[in-house]
This record gives sequence, structure tokens and C-alpha cells, in this order.
Amino acid sequence: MRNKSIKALVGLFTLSSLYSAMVFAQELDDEVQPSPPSIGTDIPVTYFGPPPSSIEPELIGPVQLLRSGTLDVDAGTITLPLYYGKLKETGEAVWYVITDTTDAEVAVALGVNHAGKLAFADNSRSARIAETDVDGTLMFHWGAVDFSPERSVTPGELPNAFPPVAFQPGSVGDELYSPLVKIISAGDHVYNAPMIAFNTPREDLDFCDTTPDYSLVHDKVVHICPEEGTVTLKLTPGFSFAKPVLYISTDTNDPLPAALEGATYAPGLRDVAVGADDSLFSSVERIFGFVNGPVNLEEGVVNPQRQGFESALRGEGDVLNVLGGIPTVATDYSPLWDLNLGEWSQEAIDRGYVSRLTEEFQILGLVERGFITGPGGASYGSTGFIINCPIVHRFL
Amino acid sequence: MKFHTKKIFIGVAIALTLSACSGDDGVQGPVGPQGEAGQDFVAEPPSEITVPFGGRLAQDFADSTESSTNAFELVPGTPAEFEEDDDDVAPGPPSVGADIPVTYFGPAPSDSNPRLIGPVQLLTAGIVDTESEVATVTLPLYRGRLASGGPKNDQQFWYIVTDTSDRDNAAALGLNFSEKLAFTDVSADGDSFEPNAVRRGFYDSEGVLITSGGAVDFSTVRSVASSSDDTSGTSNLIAALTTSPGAVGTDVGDPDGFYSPLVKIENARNHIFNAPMVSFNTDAEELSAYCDGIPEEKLADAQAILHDSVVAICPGEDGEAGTVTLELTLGFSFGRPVLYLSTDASAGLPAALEGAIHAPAMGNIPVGADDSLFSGVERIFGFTNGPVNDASGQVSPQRQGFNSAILGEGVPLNVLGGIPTIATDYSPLWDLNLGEWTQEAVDKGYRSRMTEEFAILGMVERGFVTGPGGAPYGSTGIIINCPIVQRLL
Repeated sequence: MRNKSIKALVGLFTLSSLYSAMVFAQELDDEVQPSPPSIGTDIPVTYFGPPPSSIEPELIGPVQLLRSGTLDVDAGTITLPLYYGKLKETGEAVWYVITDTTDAEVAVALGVNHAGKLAFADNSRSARIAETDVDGTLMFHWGAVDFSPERSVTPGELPNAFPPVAFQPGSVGDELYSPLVKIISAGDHVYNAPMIAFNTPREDLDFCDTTPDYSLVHDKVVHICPEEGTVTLKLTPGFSFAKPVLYISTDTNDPLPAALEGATYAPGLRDVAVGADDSLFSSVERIFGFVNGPVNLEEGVVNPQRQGFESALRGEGDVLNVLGGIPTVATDYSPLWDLNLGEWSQEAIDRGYVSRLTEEFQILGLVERGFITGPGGASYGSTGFIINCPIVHRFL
Repeated sequence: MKFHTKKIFIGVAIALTLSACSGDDGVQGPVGPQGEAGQDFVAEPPSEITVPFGGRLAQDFADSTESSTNAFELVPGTPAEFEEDDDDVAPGPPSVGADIPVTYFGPAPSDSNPRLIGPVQLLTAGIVDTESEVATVTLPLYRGRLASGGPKNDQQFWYIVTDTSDRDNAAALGLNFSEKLAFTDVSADGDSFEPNAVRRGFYDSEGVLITSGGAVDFSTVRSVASSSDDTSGTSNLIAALTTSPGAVGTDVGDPDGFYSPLVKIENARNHIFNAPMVSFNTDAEELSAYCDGIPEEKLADAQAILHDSVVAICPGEDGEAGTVTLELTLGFSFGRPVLYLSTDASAGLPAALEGAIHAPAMGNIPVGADDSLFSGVERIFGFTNGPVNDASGQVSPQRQGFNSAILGEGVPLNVLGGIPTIATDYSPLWDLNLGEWTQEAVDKGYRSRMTEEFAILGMVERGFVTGPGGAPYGSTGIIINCPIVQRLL
């Protein structure tokens, strides 16, 4: 393939990803948001009691988990406090958000997620170091991100849009960058503080109501407003134990998923160990994705079973990954997701066993029966890809 | 439907996608050197293409971690071997696909809080056995006596207790608490209160339950015969069934009063208990024959006096407590596999299919209003034409529904609404909502096993699931008494 046609394809995909961004809100309605309970009953929805989750958040029903921001479910966004910090020695501006912390009390007070497991994510370069200045500004010892690259993904030729033939993450961290930071002036607690913009003055980030300049900010930014101290980020739909959820996808430890997810490539996250899930010193939780889940059969007609990277790369919508434990569902939540990539076997395809899956143990059961393997028939397990995806909302 | 074949991948995805970015066309990937195909991927130090380090602190840290960091290479997991398991529904162990054996995993979150994910026994009055071929629960066996004034007056019956509207005693006895049972004591039409769905009773000085009505004939022989095995398209084998339930309870108007599994106990603060009968007009000696189970050759004799779910029954001697072991049914609730008892149904056909008592009086309880005021039911979702096994006979991991069950492939794997620890609206009385996948859904391959209420309602909303024969989706009017026993997840 010649460069020219590649460029044309890149252009096409940029268009299609724009398109998928545009239809995101509608797709949320169609694909992930639970239907009203009144369907099939004799009574309108107003006669139903409140969701059980309004009594106890662990029970079924909607729960906003990341409470530090304003959630807009219809738009699929959350508006979070925008924090300003500096690189300690150079004074370069570090704009960031806070989504998770090992400090349970601070988590409650600030409305961020508590992730006890992040205590096990302080290995070599997997967490930056920072301390607070006299005025409360967080001073980072190292870690920089280049937001100037233009994100692009060139899908393969159909029927195999995945793997893509070319890709470029929209933001790239230096070799010391990790979204995690150990704050030595805050009891050595580890915080998840993904960078949103770097070394950019306040006045250049004034995109309060306009589309931001993506050469300056993270690709997930919908609006950024230093004046008001807010940043609005686009959310990604998925599932956790059959509950539809929304999360933010901010960073990954490899350029490929970074390009696919619109996240920052953060090399420091490669020092986080994968594969051991819920055991001692493991800081990750598993996320389950599919190479070849169901795709749409007709253009523009959404297959209610569609899922996976092939479907996403065809521009049909989000990948709809399946998360392991999240707060209020399990005790083992971590925003660092260890990607277990599954491929439906030829036998499963031929027999018509392929469907959307929404629950971890159902997936592991299909792996146990041999209907799902790793890519190319490899053993099922960790790909080594870590995606930093702080959980935001549970629909059920 | 077009899917990838294994051919695309020559190695694991990582190696492949990386060689793809340095493919034969000479297109350069964005980050990292482009090595020989198949070579391990090593990202070039991003510092060269991005920004310089932020000063001495950063440079010193970079130097000191240079030998320990993996920042230049991606380290995938090395999954441990696991044994294949053909179990169709039980959750796979968490160690599948992990680098570590199951013993290194922390305890299930449900250990610290039963509302979190993990196994939870809900009906703790009994002992659950999930190891044997068919899962069972062994429950206390209770004795009662009919005081109807009718032809069967004074006859003895045996029953179990599974649910109650009394919260404190539910906790004390290990029963399911169901507030909604308070709304089941409905009345026949008219100006005065004529109960027609909940029996009346009291306990005597020996703890025997005396009820003013309700007899069950266990002598009828359960049969289910289908005149068709066509499961194509929207074909509904239920329509081709000839059935007879294995036990029939008395209806309203019977001289011995009506049978319902529900009983309002006057001297227990008028709380309503779910107390399904397991044997009627039998004595301890007759039942003792089945203390160690029911031998194959005595199955017909046993089923003529016992509930069809009974696997073993032992009335207890010399004041010893009696027990009864009952078969459990697999289903789902909000994506989690569950086990429940299926004891009674308001219509003959589901009673025959489920091996339950046909209890017509239970049908007087209103349905269709789910979680609203005075609704005593919760919805259960079944399918007529869910996926079935193919000709090879291999168990499809997607199989579900009554067509599959009638073909003898296993239980229909119904989907329950709220159960305790997941929702606040549990009731053991399940209002059957029967769904049919449309011809379009079948043709397009949209059918699959469904395990969660709102995902089903989503399919209904989008027109892929309707009522049988294309009717509007909703209550069939059938109530099944299915006390929840165990959450497997």
C-alpha cells in the first residue's frame, strides 16, 4: 500500500471516529443504558419503587462512583476539577485530574475512587514522586507528556479492520511518565493523577465552550476551563459483572492501545506487574476485551450483540470491554486494568456461539471450555497491556 | 457474519500488531524502532521524540532506574495451565488466564459483604450441595395437620419453610425475607374479605402447623410429551405439549379449602410464610423408606406420595429433627448464576414442566405490576425459542429456554428479577414473562443466552424479543413459587 492511500485511509478513519464520537450519546441510549423497568408491565415507570441502590449502593441500580465531578449521562461526559501543578525543577505547568487514591478517607472526602491496590504500584518507574508546595501546588519530580501528536488509527482492510495497519497515539509521555504519583507529603499515598495538558499557560487552555486544540490537551477533553477550574472528559461505556458502566480511559503502557483508546502512552506503567490479578502485591485488575466479537451485519444497523476491537475499528462504536471488580461490586478495584484479550475460536464461530459477553466469570467459563483463547489460539491471559481507566458510573 | 480467522495471527496479538506497524509496505509506525518481523518490540526512549527531562531530579531517577525498569519493553503475563471444564453455567475459576493458581487469590468479596460479588448461600436454613450431579438443598422437614372440616379433615401433611414477611425471624431461622409477601393475601371479589390465595393457620403446643384448608394430591403422575421437535425460527414447543402435573392442590371452593404454599400464621403476628407441601396424608413410617434417597425402582412409588423435587426425605425419629433433600434449579439473577427451588405453579403446564405442584389458588394473586404498591410478585424471564444445541449434541454455551428444556437439553435457565442481597424487592412468587426471539433476530444471529433483566428489556424495546406469537411482551399470568437458595456469584 502506498503512502497516499494510507493518508486517505487515515482521513477516512478520522472521519469515522468523529462520526462515532457524534453518535456516542445515541449509542449509549441504544446499547448500554438499561431500558426502563416498565417495559412489559401493566404500569408506567412512575409507579415503580426507587432503585434498590438508593438504599444501599451495593444493591442493583444506578450509582455514580466518581463523585468529584458532574456526570452528564446523555452526553457521556464528566466534568472534573482541573488541578494545576508544576515540575519541581523546571516550573513547567502540569495540568491534571485526580480520580483514585489509596487513601480511603481522602477518597470519601473528595469523592474519588478508593483503590487500595495502588499501594502495590510503586515499583521502579510506575509512580511519579511529588510533594505539595507551601501554597498547596503539587510539585512533581519528573514526568512529562507531549500532547502535540495527532492521533490516528488506520484500520486494516475488511474483513479484518483489526489489527490496524498504522496507528499514532495522540499524546506520548516521556520514559518517566506514569499517571500515578506517590505524594510524599501526603503519607506516601498513591494517587491516580492523569495529565491533561503540559507546559501550557493558563490562557492558552481557555476552551470553556469551544472545541479544544488537541495538540495541547488530552484527546479525551471535550472542554477545558482553567478559569473555572474544570475539565470535561469523554467517557467510555463497558460492563462490570453484567452491569453497564462508564469509565474514563486516560493512559496505557503501549502505543497501540493508546492510539485505539485516545489515551496517553505512559511508559512508566510498564513497571506495573500484570498477570497475578488479586494476589499479594498485585496492583492490577483484569479487563476483558475481544478481538473478533460480533460485528454489524448491515451498515448503520446496530447488532445488539456487537462487541470487540473488530467492531470498534469498523467504526461501529465502542469496544464494550468487560471490567473486573469496581467499588460497590467488589473489594479489589484498581484503575489499572490488565488487558486480557480473547479470540473466539473457529469452532465457536462455526457453531454460532459468539455473542456479546458482559461478565468476567462467564468469559472465564468459555475460556475453560475452549471456545475463547488468546489471539491466534495462544493461551488466554494477560497481553501485558495496562489501561488506566478510572471507573465513573454504574448504570445498574 | 464475518469474523477473523486464526490465519491473521501468526503470533500473539502484540507481536503481530507491531509487525503490522512496520509492515511490508514500509509504513513507519509512530513510536519505536521498526525491527525485523517477529522481533520483540522495544520502544525507542520516548524522550528523544517528546520533551527533555525536567532537570537533575528526573535525570538522576532515570539513571538510577535504568537497570530495573521495563519502560522499554512490554511484559505480557505467562498464564498458568488450567484443566478444561465442560460445566455450562457455573462460573469459571478466577485463576483461568492468570499467572497464579487459585490459592493465591484473595477471598471472594462476598466474604466481607454479602452484597458484593461472590458466592452467597441465601436460604441458610439448609445445607446446599453443589458437588453432586444435581445440586440439592437439605432443609428441615416440618409437620402439619389439616383442620378443614372437609373429607380430608385431620390428615397429616409435611412441609418446608423458605420465606417469610417476618424480617427478624427470617434472620433467626435462615429463611429468605420477603416483604412483598405482605401483599399476597388477596380476597375474592365482593364487599367482605374472602381470602383466596393465602391459607390460614396456627401452630399448636407441639409446634405442629394447623391449617384451615389445603390438600395436595401427590398421586398424579407427571408427564410431559411433545408432538414436535421443530425448534427452527420462532417455533414454540410449548404449544405442542401434552402435560400432566405430578401433584395438584385443591382450588378455592373445595370442601377441604384451597391449597396455596402461602400461609398466614395467626399466632405468629399474622406474618405470611411460604410453606410448600412436600407430602400429604402420609405417616413417618412411609417416609422413612426414603431417608437415604429414592432407589430407581421405587421412584414411581415415592413420587406418588412426595413432591417431585424430593431426592431424600427423613421424618426423624425419637424427637430428632426431620429433613428433606430437594433438587435445585439453575437460573440467573442480574448476570449471576443462582440456584432456586421450584415448588408450586399456578397453572398445570408450568407445574408439569418444573416438577412442581399445580396450585391454582396461587393464580388469584395479581400479576403484571411488578414493583408497585400491593404487588406481591417479582418478574421471572423465560424464553420459548432460545438457542438450542446443534446436531452434534455438544452442549451449547448459549442454550436457554423452553424449546431447549423440552428437547431434554437441561433446565430452561430462566432469569430472575430481584433476590436478597441484590435488590430490595424479592418475592418467591415469580410472574412469568415469556419471550420469543423474532424471526429477524433468529435470522440475523442476534439470539444468545440472556442473563440479566434489563438486557432482556433492552431486546424487547428494540423489537428483537416479543411475547409468544409476536404478542406484546409481558406477564403470561402464570406464577411460579421459586424460593431462592444460593447465589453462585
